[in-house]
Amino acid sequence: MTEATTAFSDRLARNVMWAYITTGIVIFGLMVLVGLGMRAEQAQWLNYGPGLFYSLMTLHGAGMITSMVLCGMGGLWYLMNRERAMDPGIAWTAYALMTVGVVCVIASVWPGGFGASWTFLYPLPFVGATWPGWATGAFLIGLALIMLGWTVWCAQLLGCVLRAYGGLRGAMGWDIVFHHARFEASGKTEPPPYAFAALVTAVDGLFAAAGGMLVGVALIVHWLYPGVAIDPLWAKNLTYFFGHTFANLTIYMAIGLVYYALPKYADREWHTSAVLAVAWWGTLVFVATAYFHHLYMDFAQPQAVQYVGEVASYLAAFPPAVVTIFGGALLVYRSRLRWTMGSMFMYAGLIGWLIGGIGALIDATVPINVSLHNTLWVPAHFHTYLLEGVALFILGWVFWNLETHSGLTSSLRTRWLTGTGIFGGGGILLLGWYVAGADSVPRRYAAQPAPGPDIASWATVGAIIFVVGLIVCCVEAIRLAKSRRSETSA
Amino acid sequence: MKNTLRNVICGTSAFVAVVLSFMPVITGERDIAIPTHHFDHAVLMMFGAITGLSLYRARGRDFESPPWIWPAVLGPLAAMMLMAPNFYAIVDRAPLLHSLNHLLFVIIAGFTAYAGQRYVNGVGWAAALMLELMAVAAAFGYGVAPAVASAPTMAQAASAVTRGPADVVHGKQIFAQNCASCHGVAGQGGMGPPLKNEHIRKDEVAAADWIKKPAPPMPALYPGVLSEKDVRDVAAFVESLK
Repeated sequence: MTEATTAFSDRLARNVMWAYITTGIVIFGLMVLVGLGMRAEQAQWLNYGPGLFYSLMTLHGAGMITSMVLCGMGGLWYLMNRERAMDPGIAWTAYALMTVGVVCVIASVWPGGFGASWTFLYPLPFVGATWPGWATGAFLIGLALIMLGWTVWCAQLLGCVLRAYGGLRGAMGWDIVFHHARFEASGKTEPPPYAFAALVTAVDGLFAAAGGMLVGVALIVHWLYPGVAIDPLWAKNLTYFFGHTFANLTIYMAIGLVYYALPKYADREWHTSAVLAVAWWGTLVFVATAYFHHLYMDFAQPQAVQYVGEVASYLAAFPPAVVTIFGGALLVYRSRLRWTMGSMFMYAGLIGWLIGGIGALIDATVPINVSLHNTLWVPAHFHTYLLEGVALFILGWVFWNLETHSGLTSSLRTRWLTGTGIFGGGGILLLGWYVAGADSVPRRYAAQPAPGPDIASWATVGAIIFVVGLIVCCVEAIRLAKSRRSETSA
Repeated sequence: MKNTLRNVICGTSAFVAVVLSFMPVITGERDIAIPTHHFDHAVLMMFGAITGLSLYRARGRDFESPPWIWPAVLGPLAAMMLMAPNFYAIVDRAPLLHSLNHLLFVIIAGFTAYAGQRYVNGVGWAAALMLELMAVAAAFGYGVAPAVASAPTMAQAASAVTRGPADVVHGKQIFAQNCASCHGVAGQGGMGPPLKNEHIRKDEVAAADWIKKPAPPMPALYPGVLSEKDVRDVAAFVESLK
């Protein structure tokens, strides 16, 4: 391949990546504003009523997950495309399917008024609904399109991983773990750490999509032919199997980007080791069975799977988190790391992941879950995980690219402003959920009992500070992107 | 040797799949429970997928054939749509149609697996496994309720309730169990609005209608938790609150 061809295909791949990431970040920004509006309603600063609140809650949940997934998809696709070139047409089609799906979901909420939450637990979308039937259909079809796009992307990523490392055995690093000396002697190159994230995302993503598509088709059939009944417990299992795995994979996709970019800042290498490989095997198996902790309180659920849920919840999160966070800390230690926007976000994201993960493990512990699961503790942990974990990794990746291509970094003042807004404001926002959750304020309520509204008031202040930080961050990103463009044109 | 074994597996699985597909013609018309029916289809598709996987001849691992990804991904979706339980009621009455329907499942499964392998060697296994897991999982809850024909309609259920005068004492008990946590034990209000003097805003019929079809966040407890009589009794109790 000539240098010009390589540069051209790299540009095509970058276009794919930026399309996914830009769309994801735009949706993320809009959903942050929707979330701010919801918190202001709970604080009784706004009074738009519970009907709209539940519609916005549905939009916020579906939109946030999709936005993070889109960003992770773009970044990981670009990285793996460097290992083995993939057909951009497939990636564009997956992108189109997901975008149309997002439009359908938005239409279901506005003007449709759909408000059964993004978890759409059967029979909630159909029973006692105050929205028209078409809104339910638009939501379900929208989610089906998003899932289809996701499945296509996962299948392509799996194909790429299998091609790049000579099949599943090579991609899993089997020989690195069990036949290390022979592997070294063979002169083969081990998969880079982000390839493990890609493998887990592709395999578990396909299985999650299978569950999601099955329950999605069942609900669409029920929508078309209401006589076809569905077992509610079965539907809940499949919904959470898909939803929990899908949400978890956002961090694994994003961590793949950190595996690549953080070492560049530290000017060190993030090596593939047997421990890292085994840790990812654990995630490969256990991430799909961790969702049972969402059904601890469903008395009809077989008791054995409740035990599986508790054990799997620990085992899914623990190995890659420890390996990655410990590995990341060692990578940075005494490395004279360049503290830029990119490295700051990535390193802070590791801390957010750790805190959110601990919150999740507390909730996944059966005796505690009984007290915490229906409270604001749950939004506390997943917002920590997504807002101060996945989102920061994504922002870190965006800034890594912008800084690399513009050759510029941000001023110390800009970094302080952004950090104060995103970490300080974000911290206040998150603390509001943790404190309210520990005080048994219920989740998924438009109007909360005391002390919910008081806590929501200062959490809303935190959210506003967070939004200011995000705006500063966006302005800085645009400045760097423009510098890149002017340099390219020059 | 390897190719011979592959051909034997391919031929055997295709033969078994076709024979199983024509079981409705062989055994004649019969009613099959929906979970069993889903499971039968999972078995059929397993043989179809084995045929598809063994039909593929490896072209090297590092090879991507983009168009083949589409049947590999869309196959499982198409199969799940065909497994819609309302179709079963139709095909169960027509053995030949039923057998052709089975053949379609076999073809979809075979094509899904083969197309996945053609896309990239190894992806076909993942696609076949996805399809198989979906078909087996469907047996545990996709259309498990009684058939529509045997289930009473809402109107039938409503008319079956003995109509009589509303019972305010019973209404108070129902209210205490289901409504008091939000509206207060005496209807003084709490998280939900107060209900005292509700009779000024709504008459008994309107109150009952509201309980049946409330606006969020008030949960709709009828007809799942409350019966028609419960609703009328609660409405009568609410009307009595001063």
